[in-house]
Amino acid sequence: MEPAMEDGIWDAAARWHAEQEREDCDWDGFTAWLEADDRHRLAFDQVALLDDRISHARPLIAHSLPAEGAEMRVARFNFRWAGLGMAAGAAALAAVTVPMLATGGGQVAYSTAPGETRSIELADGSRVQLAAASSLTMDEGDVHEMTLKGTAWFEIPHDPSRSLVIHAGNFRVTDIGTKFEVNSNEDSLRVAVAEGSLTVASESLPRPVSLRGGQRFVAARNLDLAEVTRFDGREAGSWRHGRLVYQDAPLALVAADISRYAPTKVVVDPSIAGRRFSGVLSIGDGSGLVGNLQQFMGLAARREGDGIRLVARHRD
Amino acid sequence: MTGLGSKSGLKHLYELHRPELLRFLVARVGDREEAEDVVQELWLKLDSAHVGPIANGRGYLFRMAQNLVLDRLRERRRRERREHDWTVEKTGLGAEGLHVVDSAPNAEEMLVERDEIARIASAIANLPEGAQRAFRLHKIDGLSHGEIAERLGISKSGVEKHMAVAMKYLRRALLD
Repeated sequence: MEPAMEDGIWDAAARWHAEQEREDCDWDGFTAWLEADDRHRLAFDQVALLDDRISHARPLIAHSLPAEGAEMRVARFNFRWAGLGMAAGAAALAAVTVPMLATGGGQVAYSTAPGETRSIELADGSRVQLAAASSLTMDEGDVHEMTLKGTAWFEIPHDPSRSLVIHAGNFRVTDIGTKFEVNSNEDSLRVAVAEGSLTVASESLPRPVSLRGGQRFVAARNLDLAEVTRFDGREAGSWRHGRLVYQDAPLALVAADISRYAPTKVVVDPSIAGRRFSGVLSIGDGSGLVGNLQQFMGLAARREGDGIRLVARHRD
Repeated sequence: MTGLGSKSGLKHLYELHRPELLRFLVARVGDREEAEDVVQELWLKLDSAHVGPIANGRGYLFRMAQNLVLDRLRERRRRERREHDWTVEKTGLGAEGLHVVDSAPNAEEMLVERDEIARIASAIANLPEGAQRAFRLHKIDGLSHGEIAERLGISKSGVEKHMAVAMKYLRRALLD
């Protein structure tokens, strides 16, 4: 029917077709491309017809499409992020100068430096992996309470006879078991369950939230809402394998994570803090993270003190 | 001074750009005679075109020309499909002559269409994440490239890249 087409021709046809929407579309360039080879015109015909077909069948197609995004959301709550007495937490973190410290009052504190991770084994066989620039305090001996600042991956067998609470900012994680990640920052929280179940509670939540394997809870300042969404459970704790994986994550949360690995602290301008990011960032030595995020999201970086502020870039 | 959007303004632009429009159309349809047909049709359409202020009159005319070509392509395809179905029907009718029985082709058409819709929907659902999101926002939800750029926090050329990737995959899935 048609002369043999090459991939490059289809690519070019698709690109030219996408460009047509522009106010400043290059019609001369398009003409020259069409003139260059008969196959170009034929390829463009196909693309234009396919696009036209889809436009005309839009309602029927919409009806047949699996709901993207909407299918991922399990629940949503109005939610006001309450500024916790973070000063207290920050002071506790600053006071910890050695990796493990008996803080007196029957507590033990573990912490990590930027770029460092630590494994902690508990008496009952539970394991905790602490991510970079994070701290975890817990009872000595029988652990009933832990307090987390930053990110940690937990493997804790479900034990109804034991009451264990993990404090993360303004939140409490209870009814715990078995494999999950908690990511607690000044302006955001994410609890992701790979296997098992748990409950997330807070004064600011209308009711405690139950999570199962493959479910994730996210809340952030600037969002005015908290969400439970589905996700691929295997992605939880991906930082243990050198990758930061996000799906619709609030930018503020991504920045907080990056700050754990990058040489400088990264904050996000409030005007864009609510934007969502989906993608994978390779951690490497941490130096490329900000640049990668900038490229993905079309952001600019401004030096602020000894840190970086991400802001919107002036776009076309 | 007549505004760009007024009829006389557009017609003036047409006269100014007619040679380029014709050259574009020759390249677009691959046939001199048909290209002249279209450029004439474009002139006639300007009479009935209802337009408000236009920022880029030249671009507007090119876009109109492009749409006229698309109309013809669409018609040609419909005709080809009808003829194809008719041929199939004819061989099935045998001695009954050349009359096409209405009900059977319609039912057939409906099944073909339903199957096609399902294939398109499936192909869209299998697009890579970024391209799928941009494509759905544009083609299903009707957002402009600019609105999508805002929503996704990317640049407009980023949106165009996603759309080009989407079309590339869809064409491969649906037309090969």
